[in-house]
Amino acid sequence: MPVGALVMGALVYLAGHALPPIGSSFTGLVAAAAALTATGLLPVRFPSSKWQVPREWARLGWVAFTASFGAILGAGVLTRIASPGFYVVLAWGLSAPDWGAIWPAFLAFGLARAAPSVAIALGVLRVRNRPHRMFVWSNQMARASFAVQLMLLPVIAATFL
Amino acid sequence: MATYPATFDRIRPRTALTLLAGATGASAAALWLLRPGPPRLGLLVALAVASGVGGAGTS
Repeated sequence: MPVGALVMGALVYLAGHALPPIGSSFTGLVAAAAALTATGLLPVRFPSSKWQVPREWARLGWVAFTASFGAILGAGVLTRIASPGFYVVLAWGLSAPDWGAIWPAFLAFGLARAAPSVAIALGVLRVRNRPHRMFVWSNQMARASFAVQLMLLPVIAATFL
Repeated sequence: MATYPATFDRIRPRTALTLLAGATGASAAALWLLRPGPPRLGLLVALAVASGVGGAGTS
């Protein structure tokens, strides 16, 4: 997942340099829009893919499947974007002036995208007889991170605008 | 209106609005405290971490 995220960061960075300069206030605008959208105050839907990694790819073998699964999820945009904050990370990738300011954000996203899977995999070993706990943990982590995003988005909007 | 059904439904609208209002106030205070150079990259990395964890359970 971190590799997929870094590749996506590089692609976004290259795309940003192919376009006329956007300016970092674009990141603030996207953060403000994401905050309003996430709370339902702005009735718009940001673009998001509906594609899912096909389970049939497991026939490729577990190494190839796991690698492709991780890279695709790490890229962030190929599957459903569940986090409003990721749009802001993408906007930062487009508008930041240099690569050194971009890769830490995308690497952080990739590592954090992988962290719940690792935590759940380790946790499942402890609750082998209660696999439904895995889904409860996923929801709890997603809910907590959503609250954190709701707090950070206005701060970022105010900082960049 | 829930524009992020899968995620937004997990949190009550009043809670979301309270968090948003609190964060707006906190951001104003942070801007005042952190002038003239707010740590932009740190904020974005924190948001990126929260965004990554927010994808838990989706594939």
